[in-house]
Amino acid sequence: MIVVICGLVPLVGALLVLLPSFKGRNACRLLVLVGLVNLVLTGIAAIGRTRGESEFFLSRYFVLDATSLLFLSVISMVFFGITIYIYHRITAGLMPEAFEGFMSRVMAFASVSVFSVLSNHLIVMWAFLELGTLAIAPLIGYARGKEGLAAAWKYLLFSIVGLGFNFLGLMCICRAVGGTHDEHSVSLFIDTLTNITSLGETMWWELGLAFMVFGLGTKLGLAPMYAWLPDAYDNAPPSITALLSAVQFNCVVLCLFREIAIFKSFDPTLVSEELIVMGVLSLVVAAMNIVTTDNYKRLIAYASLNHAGTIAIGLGVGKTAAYGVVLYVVSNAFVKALLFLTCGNIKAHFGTKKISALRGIIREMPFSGLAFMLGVFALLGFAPFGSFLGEVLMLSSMIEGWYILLFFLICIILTVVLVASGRALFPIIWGDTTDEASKKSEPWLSNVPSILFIAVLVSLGIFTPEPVTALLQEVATALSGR
Amino acid sequence: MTNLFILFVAAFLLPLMFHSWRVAVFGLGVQGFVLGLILLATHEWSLMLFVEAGNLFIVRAVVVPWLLFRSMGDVQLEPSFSLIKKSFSQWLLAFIIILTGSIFGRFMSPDDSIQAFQVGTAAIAILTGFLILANQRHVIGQVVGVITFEGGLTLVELLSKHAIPLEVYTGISIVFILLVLTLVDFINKFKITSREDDLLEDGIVL
Repeated sequence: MIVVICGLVPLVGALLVLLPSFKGRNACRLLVLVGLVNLVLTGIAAIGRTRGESEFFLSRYFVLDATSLLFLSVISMVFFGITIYIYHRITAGLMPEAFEGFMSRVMAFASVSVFSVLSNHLIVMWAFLELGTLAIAPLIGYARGKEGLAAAWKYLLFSIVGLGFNFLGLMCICRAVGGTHDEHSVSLFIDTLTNITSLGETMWWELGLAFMVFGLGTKLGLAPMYAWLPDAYDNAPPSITALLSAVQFNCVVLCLFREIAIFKSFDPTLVSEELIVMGVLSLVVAAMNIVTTDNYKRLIAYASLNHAGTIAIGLGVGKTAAYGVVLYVVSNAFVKALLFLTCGNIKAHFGTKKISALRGIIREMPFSGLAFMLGVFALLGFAPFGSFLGEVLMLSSMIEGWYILLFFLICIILTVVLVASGRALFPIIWGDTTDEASKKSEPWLSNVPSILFIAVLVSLGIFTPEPVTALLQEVATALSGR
Repeated sequence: MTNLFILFVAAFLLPLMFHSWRVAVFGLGVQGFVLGLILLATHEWSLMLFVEAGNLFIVRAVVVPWLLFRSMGDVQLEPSFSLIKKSFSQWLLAFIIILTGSIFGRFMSPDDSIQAFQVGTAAIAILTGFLILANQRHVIGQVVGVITFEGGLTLVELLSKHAIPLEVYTGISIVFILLVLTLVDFINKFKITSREDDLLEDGIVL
């Protein structure tokens, strides 16, 4: 039951912050407190969980199993880091006045994200994803003028359509089963669906499966429905970009994990081909845009698209890549949160997002520069970060599964991304400055989230504690399906 | 029963021929009303039906158009407003969508012509919503596209024999209401922005 409280705490916070007594700094403190309580409750739930068992709550609509625990831990850690970052931004006067509405939405978003991760019913999970979209969409354009508003609108429309397709897919699956058994109604409880042996009418469930994957692909920002991603990530405030890329992205990935684990065994080829095509297209689109962009935040947004594509390909490759995919997903949540928050620090300091206007930030902002450097290394898949290990495991699975052409194609695209990203981002970190760079002290609070995320990233690559490894393996086994 | 489906098709196809956002929004209300009638014609009385009917007859048929009319106020978009461009290619595309929908219905239900027609109707609604979304630069037009798309999804849901638990359906209804409120909130923001600048850089106009 602790995990349900974990979801309720941000919801209570979202309501409390609207009260007159929680104005100004009190609202900031409440936000950090909510993040901390959320993290502590997740830790207690993780310690109290028996390995290999699932615990159900509230008429089985919510479940705490390995998959939900892993994703809950990731989003709780990221959310806590983001709350500290928002606290810093507000106390440093970097956000507009009257931010209580902003905070309320952030906490409401955290609450629905926790519930979506815990959902044991596909429609309930869909509903929480949609609620998350509605909570965060107005924040994308928060104090960002007409460009921000247009980006938020685009995000909202794409999300509604993507989730609509997912819902359509679920209805097609229901129709498939109902069509065969007439009055029989399929249960959309995840634990029940994993035991189902037949899905009835082939055409209907194949169509349903294709719609579900396409819909979630849209929500993840996979090509061809990716147009919202760079605009939303670029225009949103850094904390919101981090929430979108690390929290919401993982909630959608979890939904994809659940659906693939259930339905892939009925037609492995259909899902694999769709995922691989969407994944490769996303890699190509990301690579082309990374080469041409002159905006470091947008470049990282395209790198996120690249990651989404890699995850889709990993899922398409199947069982052998499962552990690599899980590790990659977890690592990337922290990489993206780290980079987008650091981008916010850099933008606040230099006042620009142009790559060509920035050189040698590590000299002027030593800590943010270092965090940016480590984030870029992890982003590009360098050792010893978890993303490196995840990528290597996925690539080796392609060889094992005889996806040789795909292996070479991905190696070529990843090399292009590596060279283009390095060429653009390395001069930002170390490049020669024309002016005399003066080392300025950075507020320590702005760096706390970065330290937290870097610690997790390095730990995932070098030393992963045994319970975490066991949890990752449990999730990978569940992802492999029957 | 077939007449209801014909009426539903008319509710989202007829507004394509007018240069008026008011007709388009009115069409959304009619769509909601007809969906309610389809529900009553296809399902037996139960508490679940009561909630579903409330959602369709009150929220979709009345509240949604009312909210949209209220937020748009006296905005004059005519004669530039049109749900799809008045060009041969767009009309051809609309015709292809209708054709595709009907072929799709027959393909999915080859042995049952009534079912094929129903499935085809849902497919046409979803594709028309998509066509409007792809065509529109007007925010209100995009909202009409989204709700038409959602209407198609609701029809698929009504046609599926799966009984969604009452508490889950209530959740879906709440999500829909919040979605509409969010869309209206965005329309209001676009109105404020448009006062400052008629055309947004992205090409979206009120």
